[in-house]
Amino acid sequence: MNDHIAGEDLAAYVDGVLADGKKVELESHFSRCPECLEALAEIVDIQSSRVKVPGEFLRQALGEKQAARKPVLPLRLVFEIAAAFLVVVVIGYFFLGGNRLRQAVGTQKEKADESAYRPVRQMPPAGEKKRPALVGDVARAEAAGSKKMPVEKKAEAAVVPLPDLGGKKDQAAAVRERKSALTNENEPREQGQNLAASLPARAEIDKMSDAQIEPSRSAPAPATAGAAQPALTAQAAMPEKKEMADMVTPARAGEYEAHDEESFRSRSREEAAISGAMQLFLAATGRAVAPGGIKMAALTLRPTIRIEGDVTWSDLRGLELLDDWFWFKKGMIMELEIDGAGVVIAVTPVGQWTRSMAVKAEKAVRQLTFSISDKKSRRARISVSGSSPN
Amino acid sequence: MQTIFTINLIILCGRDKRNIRKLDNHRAFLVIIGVMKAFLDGDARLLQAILAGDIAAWQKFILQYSNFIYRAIIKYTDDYDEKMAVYLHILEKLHENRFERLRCFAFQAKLSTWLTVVSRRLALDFLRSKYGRDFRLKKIRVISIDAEPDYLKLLADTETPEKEMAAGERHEQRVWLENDLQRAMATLSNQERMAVQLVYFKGLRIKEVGKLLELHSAYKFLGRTLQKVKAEMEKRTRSSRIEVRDAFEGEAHE
Repeated sequence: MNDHIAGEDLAAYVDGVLADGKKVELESHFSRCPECLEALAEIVDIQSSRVKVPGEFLRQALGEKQAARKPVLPLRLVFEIAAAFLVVVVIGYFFLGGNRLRQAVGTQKEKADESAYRPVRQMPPAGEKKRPALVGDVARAEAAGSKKMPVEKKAEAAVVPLPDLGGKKDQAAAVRERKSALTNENEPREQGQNLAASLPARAEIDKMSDAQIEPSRSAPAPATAGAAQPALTAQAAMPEKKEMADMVTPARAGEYEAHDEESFRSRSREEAAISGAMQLFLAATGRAVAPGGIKMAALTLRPTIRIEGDVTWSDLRGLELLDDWFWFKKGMIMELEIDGAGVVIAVTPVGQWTRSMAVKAEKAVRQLTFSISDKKSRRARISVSGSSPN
Repeated sequence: MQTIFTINLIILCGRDKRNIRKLDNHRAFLVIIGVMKAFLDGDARLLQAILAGDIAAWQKFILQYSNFIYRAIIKYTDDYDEKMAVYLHILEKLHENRFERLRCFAFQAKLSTWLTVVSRRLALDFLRSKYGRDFRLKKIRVISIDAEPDYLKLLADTETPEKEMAAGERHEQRVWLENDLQRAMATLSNQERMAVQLVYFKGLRIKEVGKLLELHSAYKFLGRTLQKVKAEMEKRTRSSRIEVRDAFEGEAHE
């Protein structure tokens, strides 16, 4: 055999994946062909090596194009971008999504109140035998100092089913008035007065036909002005089942309450998320976190303010006032005149100012005070680092 | 399903059914496993992507297999610039004609082994085109002219009549031994001959040779082979010595 062994066969022989016949054939060739044997020995030797290619070789091979195509971002920059994105998303969700949710819930509540006041939330579920809350309960709860009971629930608890006296609109108006009165006034006596005032007079009730009064038979309306809300028995407060079927929409009522609770929970989650995201952002960007907690203002960097002249930073009293000087930009310079007591007498804006900004700046500067000095008049210049006077 | 997959693999492997019948079960299994492994490792997918013109795949190939190319290069040159030139030359050759060389790879062996073989050949071609066929012998050794010559060593190496005679004898003996060895080696089987040559003439380790030749016990195998060679040489050497002695005596007599 004059021809040398093909590369594929040689590689297959080294890997040991050749058939027996082919292998014997190759071995006989190796015994006669020193070049192929040498090649075999070298390949085995090369394979046993563990040398790694230098990086410069790879750079040369891959060229500069790849480096330009894939710039390596520093890890810190990646973190900054990610944190900023997270903050924007969370804040956007909080201010847009959260408000929308609250608005939706509020609208539904108003609609529910306006359509007809229904003592739905007092009613226990069908399977549960629970006494409805009465006026006395509210009074007891208040007496016990229960602060957690919402005002709205107080009003609801105090409400009893009303007779269908003068059409739906009148009834709804009366309910709203009574509810607002109960919400604003805490004393049961006054509540009773207001309620009594808002209800129709006894004479009017007497004039009403029996048919009109019939649905509210179980809940006779109080008519005596100045008397407290009558103590109703549980049976009296409970409307009949037929009436309940018409009045109660427990699914919707539960939905509203669930919305309230969910809104509260989601809001607390959002706040926690914002706080965490801000911390992450500030930590990633290496900016100090205000010791009093994170504020929205902390996201905006306060410019580096420079005070030159007869007074310096050490003379300034109330450094925290400058924390709100986010409006103070490069190019804005203020020349101050300060009296011996440290009060700013005059402010002269120099540089690039709009009229409104100049007014705002003057107000802000006049709030500053400086240390007391023997000099009757001192001059100083406040500017942002890098600003140059015109 | 498995059969279809196996047939597909064999077709991809570049073999037809007739050839696969020639393989014994173990070899066929190894081939199939090798191809499957190649698929699983992504070698085939990588090559497919390269052949489809994916630049990113080519860059990945360079990153993944440059070590094998580099190891083949450093076998033949120490010079940094030359190594770089050979390395870029090999990559260029692999890239040329739309990766024609890579297209020839049939997944019979590992891609790394095949690449080592190809890189070695390309490196040798490059260096031979630069320095000639015997480029290893023609490598210039740089000797500092400022270094003082070792006079004592030069004096010791000076040829004397006695030394010249001894050197001549040694040379003759060496020639006899080489002839005897060649004859003794000729009596060995191909595998035995390969083992001796790879270990004692090419400098491979016995372990590597055992793995290459798939020997159960390479040390014992090599020991037995050496005993054969020794016995054969002793026979030949004895006869040669007598012939030589007779020749010398004849010359002396003459």
